Amino acid sequence: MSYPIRFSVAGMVVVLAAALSGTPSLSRAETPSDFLAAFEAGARAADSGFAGFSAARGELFFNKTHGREWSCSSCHTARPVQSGKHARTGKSIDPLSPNANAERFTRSKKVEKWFRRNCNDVLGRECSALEKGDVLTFLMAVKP
Amino acid sequence: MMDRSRWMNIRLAVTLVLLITGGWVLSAGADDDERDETAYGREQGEYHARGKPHRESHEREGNERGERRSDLPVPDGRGQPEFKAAFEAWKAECSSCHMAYPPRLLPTDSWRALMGGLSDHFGTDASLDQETVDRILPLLEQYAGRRRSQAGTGLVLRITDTRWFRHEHDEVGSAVWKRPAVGSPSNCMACHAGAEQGDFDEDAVRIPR
Ligand code: HEC
Ligand code: HEC
Ligand code: HEC
Repeated sequence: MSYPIRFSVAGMVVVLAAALSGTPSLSRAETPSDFLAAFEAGARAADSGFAGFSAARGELFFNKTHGREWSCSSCHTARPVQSGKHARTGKSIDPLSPNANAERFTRSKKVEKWFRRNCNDVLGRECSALEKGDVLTFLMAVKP
Repeated sequence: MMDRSRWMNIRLAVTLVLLITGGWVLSAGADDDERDETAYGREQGEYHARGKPHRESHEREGNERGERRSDLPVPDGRGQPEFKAAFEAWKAECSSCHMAYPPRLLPTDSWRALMGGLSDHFGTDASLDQETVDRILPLLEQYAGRRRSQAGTGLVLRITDTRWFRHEHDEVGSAVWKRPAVGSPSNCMACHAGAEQGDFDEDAVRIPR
């Protein structure tokens, strides 16, 4: 697909704001590592004692239910390098791990939208930066 | 140690470079949601006048307002360039959890209600930002079916709750709906292979075992 290349004032303003404030901007993230860095900044801001993400904690979070019907693995499977299946509709879902699906964690708008929706369905609230970082660390660690 | 004014100069230079590349990168890589806005917005007022007569067999009844709408079974984004951005947004956003249900399967009122309540969409959170909702809804309205949706009382949000749906499927037994390969009546594709293309021809129906 080809995108029209044009000079965008809005783009400049976003970058200007990000550059001057010195905070990591989610809207620039393009790779899973960029997301990880942004989640880390968020986790650190929430808790000065933050001591790194954990794949094991992420895996646990991913596979258990949180007081409602579904876990993340209900739709994405417990081995998210495999294709999943929507727990209600049965529609197939491409693997969630970036190790098996290069399109994952490359577009911040998409990532934010699905974290918002899926965390709300599974936990009845937003996920914290720590939870997102743990899950992503797990997703980046699972081997195909 | 660097003195403060030199540091500011470096920071300014870096900012300028980022500024210029940022303007390019962000406008070039913008999310789907942001494209073709102007083309769509300009034409938005005209769409009601454009459709051709509707020919679908199960959509024979007249439109409440006597308007004529497109006869395409599903919008394809080609015939009407002013709907290109709306079509792309609909296709991307409404087919991730299930097939994109052809808009003519529900009337305008149902689509409006459905698009107004996406954060609690049949028990799941399908929320979208308002901009995307505003982009998709006119497409659904344009291609909406012309039947009234009442089944008994009130507004029907499910295709599978409409009177015509029950009527067309009254010979399908309740055990059939529950077969693993079917799952639920909402899973049109299980029996109508061409459902996503808007093809529900009775001769092509195949009920899986
Ligand atoms: C009811 C089904 C369901 C559940 C439960 C679910 N998801 Fe999802 N998830 C989806 C669907 C559908 C998509 C989008 C489909 C696609 O892009 O292929 C998705 C996409 C995502 C994405 C987008 C990634 C990208 O860059 O494309 C993330 C992140 C995600 N899910 C995380 C989670 C987490 C974390 C949980 C648990 C808190 C969870 N999901 C639970 C269905 C589900
Ligand atoms: C996050 C997942 C998700 C997204 C995104 C989503 N839906 Fe749904 N939708 C569902 C679920 C779950 C059901 C209920 C399916 C069932 O009961 O089998 C449903 C049901 C429906 C139905 C009723 C089907 C029937 O039973 O007759 C319609 C119509 C519908 N969706 C339209 C849309 C439209 C339009 C969009 C895009 C704006 C959309 N959906 C996006 C999850 C989603
Ligand atoms: C279990 C299989 C099954 C599922 C699932 C199913 N249908 Fe059907 N459908 C049928 C059968 C059987 C007929 C009747 C064919 C006949 O009259 O010979 C039919 C007829 C129809 C007709 C009338 C076709 C005509 O030419 O008159 C329409 C329209 C239709 N279905 C729409 C849908 C939609 C929309 C969905 C999903 C929301 C759906 N169906 C789900 C089996 C199914």
